[in-house]
Amino acid sequence: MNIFERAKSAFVPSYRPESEFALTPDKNKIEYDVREEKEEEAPARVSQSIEENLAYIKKRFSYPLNNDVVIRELRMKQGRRAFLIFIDGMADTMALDGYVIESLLQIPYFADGEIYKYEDEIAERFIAHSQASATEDMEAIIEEINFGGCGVFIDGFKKGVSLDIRNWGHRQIDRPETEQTIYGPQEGFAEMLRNNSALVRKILKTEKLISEGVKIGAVSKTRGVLMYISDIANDSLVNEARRRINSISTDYIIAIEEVMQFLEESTFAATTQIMSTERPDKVARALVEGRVVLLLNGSPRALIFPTTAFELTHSVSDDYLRVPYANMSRIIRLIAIFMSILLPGLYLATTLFHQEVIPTYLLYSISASRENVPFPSIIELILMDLSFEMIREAGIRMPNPIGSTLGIVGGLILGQAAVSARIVSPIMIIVIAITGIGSFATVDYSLSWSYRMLRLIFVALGSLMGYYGIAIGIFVYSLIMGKRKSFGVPFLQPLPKALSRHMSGALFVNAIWRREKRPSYLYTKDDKEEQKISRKWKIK
Amino acid sequence: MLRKKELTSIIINAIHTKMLLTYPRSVILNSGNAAWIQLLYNFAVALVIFFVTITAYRGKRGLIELADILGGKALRIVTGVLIAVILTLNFVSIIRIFPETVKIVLLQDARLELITAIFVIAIIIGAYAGIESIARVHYLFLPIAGVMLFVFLIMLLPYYDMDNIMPIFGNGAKSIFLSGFNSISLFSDMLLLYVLVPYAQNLDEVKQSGTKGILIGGGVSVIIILAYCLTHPYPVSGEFMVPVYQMARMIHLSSFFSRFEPFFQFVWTILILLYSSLYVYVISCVWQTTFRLKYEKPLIIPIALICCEIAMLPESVINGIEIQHKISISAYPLSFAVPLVYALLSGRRN
Amino acid sequence: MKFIKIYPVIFLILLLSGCFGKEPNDISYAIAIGFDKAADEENYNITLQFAKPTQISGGDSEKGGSASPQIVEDVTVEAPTLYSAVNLADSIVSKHFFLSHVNLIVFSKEVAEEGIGDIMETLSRSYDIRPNVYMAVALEGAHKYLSEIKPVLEVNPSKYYQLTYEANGAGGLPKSIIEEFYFMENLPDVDSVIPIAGVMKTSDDETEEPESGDSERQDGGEEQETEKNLLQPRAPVNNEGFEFKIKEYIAGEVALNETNKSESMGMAVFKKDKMVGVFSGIESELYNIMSGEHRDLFISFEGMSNQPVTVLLRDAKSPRINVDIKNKRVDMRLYLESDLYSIPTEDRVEEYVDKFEMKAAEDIEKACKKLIKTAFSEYDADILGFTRKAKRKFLTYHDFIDSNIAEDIKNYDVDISVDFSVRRTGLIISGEGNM
Repeated sequence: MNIFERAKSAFVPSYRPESEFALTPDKNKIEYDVREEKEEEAPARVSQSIEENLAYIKKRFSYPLNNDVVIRELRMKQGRRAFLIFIDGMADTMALDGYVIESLLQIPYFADGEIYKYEDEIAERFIAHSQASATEDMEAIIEEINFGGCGVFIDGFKKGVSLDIRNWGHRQIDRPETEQTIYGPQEGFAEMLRNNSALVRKILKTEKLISEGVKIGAVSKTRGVLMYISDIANDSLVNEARRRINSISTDYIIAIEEVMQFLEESTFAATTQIMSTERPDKVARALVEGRVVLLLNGSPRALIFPTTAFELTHSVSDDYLRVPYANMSRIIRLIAIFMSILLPGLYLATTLFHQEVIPTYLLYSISASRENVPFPSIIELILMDLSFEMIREAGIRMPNPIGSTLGIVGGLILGQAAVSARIVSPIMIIVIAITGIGSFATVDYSLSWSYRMLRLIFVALGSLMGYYGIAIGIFVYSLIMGKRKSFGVPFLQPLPKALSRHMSGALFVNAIWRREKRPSYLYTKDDKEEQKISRKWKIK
Repeated sequence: MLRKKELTSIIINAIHTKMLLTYPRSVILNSGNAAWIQLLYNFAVALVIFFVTITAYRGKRGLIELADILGGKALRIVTGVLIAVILTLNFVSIIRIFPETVKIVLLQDARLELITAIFVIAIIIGAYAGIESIARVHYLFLPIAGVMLFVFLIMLLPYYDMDNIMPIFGNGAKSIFLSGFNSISLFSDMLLLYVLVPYAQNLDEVKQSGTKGILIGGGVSVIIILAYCLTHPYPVSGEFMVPVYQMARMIHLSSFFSRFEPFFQFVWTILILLYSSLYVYVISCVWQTTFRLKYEKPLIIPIALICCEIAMLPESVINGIEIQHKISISAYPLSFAVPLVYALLSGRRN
Repeated sequence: MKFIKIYPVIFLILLLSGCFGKEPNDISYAIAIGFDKAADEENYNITLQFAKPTQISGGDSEKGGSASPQIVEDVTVEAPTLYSAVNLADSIVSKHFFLSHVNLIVFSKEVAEEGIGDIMETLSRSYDIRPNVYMAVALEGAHKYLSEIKPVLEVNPSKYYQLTYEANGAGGLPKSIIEEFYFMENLPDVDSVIPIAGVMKTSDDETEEPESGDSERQDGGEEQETEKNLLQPRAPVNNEGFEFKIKEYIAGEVALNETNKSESMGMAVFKKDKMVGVFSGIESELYNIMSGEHRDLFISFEGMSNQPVTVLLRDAKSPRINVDIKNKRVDMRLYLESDLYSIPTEDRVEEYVDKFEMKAAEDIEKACKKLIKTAFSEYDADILGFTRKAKRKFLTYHDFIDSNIAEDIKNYDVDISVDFSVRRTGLIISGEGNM
């Protein structure tokens, strides 16, 4: 550049073109659409020629673009070719080395004429691995490979073998994270499907416990298991569950919570209609009552359906504590739930509309402490409530030790500072604190969210119309809840009487020797779970 | 499908709801503080009529279907319209008085139109939920209301005074038994039971639930009015507009438990809302069955709005109470006679 | 889904309706209401006493140095009815008045004599005022009584009113609430009584005229001391057996030395809604005992020597009243039991317990008869409710009204019998051991 251009470039910023990349529409360039496999004329079949198989497999798996896929070519005895294909990191290489490749290399050579005698039995006779199946269906083998198995193709055989040798890194079985109790077993589900169903099976050691396999998701083909006890569960319930699960049509299913949202009847209802749990003992108890359970690979939670509104508030410890303590704990929990929904609304309604209910001296304290506060009551409440929710939300994102401390410290300091700065009155802090604590006492996580939503609605109604508004809110909410059904069972199933011989009382816990009948709304095949006299030592 | 217990709770609520408004006052004006004797007498007569009707009833059809079988289309339309008109009149008098009650007790500064508007919206939403949901919520809520009532009556113990119901026959036997027959209009809501027969499992359940419902509902009404007579002496007891609220005001255990009436009114508001939703739904069902329409839910909004309009016609509370009294006197004979006649005739055709 | 879109619209409409309720610190809570007669005959001077919450519960710093911060304030306006007074007072005091926490309603003597029926009607009709609000008649004037309230033991003045007028232990006051007065004011059943409230006279008040209503007092005898700071109590000494040697106080005369100069003792008798007379503290105690509404009271009786013996008196059973219309008699039985508390040293009551019981019973009977005679003949008021008990003898209400028993019963023979027994003697039992 000459001197003029240099001078110019010193003062004028040189033009740098912006990055010109934009996404170009790319539809209909799918090479092989798994979702449409059924529309093809014939499913792909294993061919006898190993070259065809190899070419097809390489094309399907985009080998060698796909770095994970490993294709190992072998020559068995007398030079017969074979190849293995697996995905590195998902397959158990020790098993591959020790059992599969070893046994493949030991297969005796058959003359070309004789080889076809053993076509069907190659998997049964020669492969030394516990889960092996021979099939002609290429799709099945590819699916197995995708899920961590290993495919074996031998030259000259019409069938390929798929071996289930998955072993990938996964979490160990540990304590349940959210549903902790003092008594009772302390195991919680982890992500491996087989481990989870094993945890359930080892509690209910009956062969009538059926785990039906399901696959959800057209591409992800996530495997799940529908469990029920065939001697107890109602057939129409199981059929309905199966029908619903099989008619989910989506591409990828990542976690069981998505399945929960697909299965529930009203997505925008305030409360969930399906119970989800992390504990195998809760699942076992539900199965014994006659319910149906869904487990999914890759999710540490199980879905239990059907459920009713009251059962969502029960905790596992009710069955492990002694009956008087369990009843007391239920009462405290109910009070906590009641407080967490209604306390702010009632407080606002009382102080704004119905001051005559408050005892006189308390009214003077409230009035005096509000004298210095610049905001109206409802703005105070919303401010404090929002801050509390933000603290709680922030506490979830922090790593564990810091998270809970942050919550407590933040709450205390915020509240204290707000009171000293005369932005809020101390009574409001107490109300919000009790509400927050009440909502922590809720057992089901999604239920605590639903209570938070309801609390806002009741605050709005209470501040607009006092007790009348709250009465209307309760009325409308109960009627809307009364309409809901959870897998055909009405959601607000009425409470059985306190001393009836039911397994799960809605409100109070029965003594354990009185829990004889299964819930009647499940229409189980077998009504009785215990005999009338369960403690035979008392009679003698 | 309504179960027996849910049907029972519906009947209990329907009968004793009127006691929570201005109904006891009209009974007391008639017969003095012997109003409880009058109500007991009405209770016995209503029970007898109910037994006669339900024992003679055959088949599992509701009243309107029965009319159709007995007399064809014309009779069906006449019966249906008659029942709808009776139920509407019954309902309209409640809609007029209840928002006034709320305004007196709970929300003194609010406008009446606002209270009524929210009331109507709430019962429309409630009626849309359907009869099963309404019945289920009835069944869940009535025990709570029962416990509240029990607590309420216990808290009034220091104020009961036997001298208040002396002289024992009040205004005289003639006014209790002769002109006192009119207050049987409290039980005229039994008409609902006959309209709801198709929703029950079988006639036996209807009979049992109706009996239990009348017994408990009537018993509760008698107890309420007895408590009112025990706590207030005669000429004064006829002056207060909402007797149950007056009793709630009296409760004064210590300075802490001294003004609890908003809590009780809160429970009673929910009871009356349940009653109103049920009524709106049943009226639209009646119109649907009469004219063989396909759906009943679209009728809910117009019926609720029309009832609200009619209810707002009286200009003041004074007119409202008069008109309510007149309506209840004129409508109750039909509400007993129609089911009785049809029940007796149903035995013929079977 | 459509409903979800409607909800915000409804919410906004509700917001616009303006129905928001009042913040608790935008309201001023009246604690007591006083009615005086205004110069203009038709109007009342209505005093509204309200609390200052910031002073009561220490909202801000209290100014050190002053003896006790003023926790209540008064405002007096002249108006024909209560709610027009509230209207006027709203413009004087910045916050709107709520009457839902009123604890006490005070009438002056002139208002009471003229009749408080209108005021009672207003009070019963309004939803604001609770039906169990206490009432009192202030002989010196409502405003004077209310302005002298300086509760020493309580921070909350409404608690002072509650404790004073609840008549839990105080024998000198009947219990009277608005609701019962309203019930009875137009009925022949019972004539109501209302406690009397008063203010102690100090020497500064000498210049005031003594009450013009002297003649209502039972026994005359006023003494006025001019030299001392506090006037000697003016009440006469009772030499009858019941409440031996106790003076017949009416409010304003009881305490000799008090920081809080307002006090309550005695009762005012009303016939329908007009005040017709005054009873002293002793008669109020007797009234409480006869109507069965009292708790334990310390009463003195005359012992053997001319010394008073104090006992703790309570009801063993509630009193029975039986009205016999044919024979024109009223039978009343009282069942009382007592514990001995204070005995003069020369007196050994334990040795002659039976005689003591009989004498005490006679004394009570005499005093009761005197009270009833005074009530019936001088005041023409049936304060014990004999008419009400007579209702049991009739079948219908019309018979009851037609028989005019309310008037006739004042001429009936009243026969009172008392069952008095001594149960305990405290920690000491003196005597020979052969009781």
